[in-house]
Amino acid sequence: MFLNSVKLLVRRKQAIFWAAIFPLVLMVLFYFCFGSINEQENCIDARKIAVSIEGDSMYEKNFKELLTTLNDQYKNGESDLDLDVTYCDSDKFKELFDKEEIEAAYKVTDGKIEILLPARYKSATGMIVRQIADTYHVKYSIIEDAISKDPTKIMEIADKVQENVSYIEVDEASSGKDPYFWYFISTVVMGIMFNYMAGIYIVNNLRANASYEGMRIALSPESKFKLIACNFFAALLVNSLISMGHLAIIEFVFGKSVFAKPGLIIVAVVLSNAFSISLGIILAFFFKGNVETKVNKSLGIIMVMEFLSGEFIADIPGTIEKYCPILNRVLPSTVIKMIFYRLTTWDEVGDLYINFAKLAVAVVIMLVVSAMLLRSESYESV
Amino acid sequence: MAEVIKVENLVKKYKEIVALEHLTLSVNEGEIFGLLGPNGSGKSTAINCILSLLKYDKGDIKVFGKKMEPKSYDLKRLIGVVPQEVAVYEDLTVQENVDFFCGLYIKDKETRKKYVDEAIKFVELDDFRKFKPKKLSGGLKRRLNIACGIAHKPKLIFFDEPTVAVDPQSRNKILDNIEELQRMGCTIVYTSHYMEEVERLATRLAIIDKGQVIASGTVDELKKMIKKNELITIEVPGVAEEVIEKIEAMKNIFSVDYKESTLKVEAGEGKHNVVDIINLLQDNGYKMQKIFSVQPTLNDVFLELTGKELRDE
Repeated sequence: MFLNSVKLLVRRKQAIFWAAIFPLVLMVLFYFCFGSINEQENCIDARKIAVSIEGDSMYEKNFKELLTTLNDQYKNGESDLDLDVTYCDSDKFKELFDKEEIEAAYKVTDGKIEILLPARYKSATGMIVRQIADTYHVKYSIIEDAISKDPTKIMEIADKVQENVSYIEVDEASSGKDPYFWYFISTVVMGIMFNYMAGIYIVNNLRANASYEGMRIALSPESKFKLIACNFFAALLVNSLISMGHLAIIEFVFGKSVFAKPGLIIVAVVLSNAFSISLGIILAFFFKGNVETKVNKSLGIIMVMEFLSGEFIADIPGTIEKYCPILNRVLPSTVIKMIFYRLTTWDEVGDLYINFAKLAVAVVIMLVVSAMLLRSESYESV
Repeated sequence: MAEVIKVENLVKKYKEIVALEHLTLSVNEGEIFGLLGPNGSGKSTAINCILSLLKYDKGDIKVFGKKMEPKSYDLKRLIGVVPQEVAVYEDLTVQENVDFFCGLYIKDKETRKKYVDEAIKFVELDDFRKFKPKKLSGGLKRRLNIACGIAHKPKLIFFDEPTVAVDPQSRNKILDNIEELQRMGCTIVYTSHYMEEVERLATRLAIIDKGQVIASGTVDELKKMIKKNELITIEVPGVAEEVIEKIEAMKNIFSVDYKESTLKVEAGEGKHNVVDIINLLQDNGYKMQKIFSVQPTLNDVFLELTGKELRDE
């Protein structure tokens, strides 16, 4: 019975496509679209900027001093802020921009900083140069104010100016993973969620009012509990292997580490697949119609869950967090994604164990409900 | 003869609709029992109650002398079902399908292999073992459906319209198989809308309508229940109206229809119906070209007992 159930599952083309092939295709696409971005960012040359200091007041001198210090710190490996500063006359800016020798320029004169930035560099470089200038300007104003009130503190404050200069961190992946890693994890979880189909097939196999095959099985002398257990564990085995296969492909083909905590990864794979299968069982009872109708209607629900958990637009969970954070805490696909994300990045445990607990409780409840629905042996109508 | 199925006063309601109203019937060991009835008459509901798939409101069902319940696994082991639809897995081959369903009953691998082989040979699907159902014709699929239902060698088999949408050759083969199963000692409950099949196969039969058994017995016994015993057809040109009236006035005559030189007379049970009509026509100087008399079929019995109005509307 168990082997036959496995055989039936692996031959269901629709289920295998959605659970195994489709996520794999998406991952390959992600890999070819974004896979090399991280390497490109890592090998980018220092951000080249030109600076024209016109005047010799403290304001201009200190700004020059600040940039020189930041440049030296980068060269000495003391800072990640990759600035390559060239001092020149502002008349040369146009020529340097035309030759693409600089990405931005500062013109510092009369206590103000003017930033020149071509449109093509408005993203990361723009943010950095703007932030440096703004921070400096604010700090200098504080110093000026302090001098006027308490001249004895001037040196103390001046020392802190350079220490306090901050810049925007462009790389979003706090753990050294590239930002597209989320898409890989999200796609694995999407495959897991698509395993709801196995749950629908279980109902179709075992319920006399769902299919004629189900009627035949319901009439057999095999105990219902054994039939449910065989079907469920066969689905769990097949689907968990598919998920592990996806993770292995991410690790060994796409070169992104996911097996840092292999034991917990296996637990997460098994729990989340148990959840999706039991969700499928409950959905099969909820929707009327034949197996295809049930699969298609349920697919709609799963796709909405996937959308809300950021499968298609990664910012969606962030937006939800702003306006309706409870949804991120209870939406199964988001909870499962966060478990896998934490397990694979592992810089912060965060809410990992809370999410594990939530998933485990949900699995237990849904399994109990599924078993109760499936165990009934006579029907109101067939 | 032992009763394999005994149903007494079975009542099943779907909300306000009474599907079975004090249905009572029995099936004897070794017979082919035909269950007939118009669409919606309660046949399938009755079978599903007997098989303990459906909950019922009142009544008593015994199979092999024991009360049939959802957990009567010992009884289920003795029962085989061939449903109306082809109930097989499209993703498994012929052999795998038969093995799958046989495996629900027979755990010993060697025995199961033997049974699966025998079932496949019995329905003559030996050359199609590795085929998936979608590659099989309608008739072959029906035979696979039968193989899946009988592979575990049940003592009681339910055939629910097993010959729907198959060609005459396949139908004949299926009917041969069913007769063979009876010879092997199986008790068979057979439902069909094809009256000639039931007439050929059934040892006894019951006609169900509106949830009740309205007639039961052998085919001959049922034929005797209806008034119209024979249809007499005579080709004779130019019969006068007063002669037709004289025929209508004769004993045992129910109706007379005369169109395009053909006289059709429905008559009740009587030994000399044909002779009496012929004598009357000869006495009036008519020359007859063709004369034939047809005995009532099971179809006539069915229509007379259940009426001719459509039931699907």
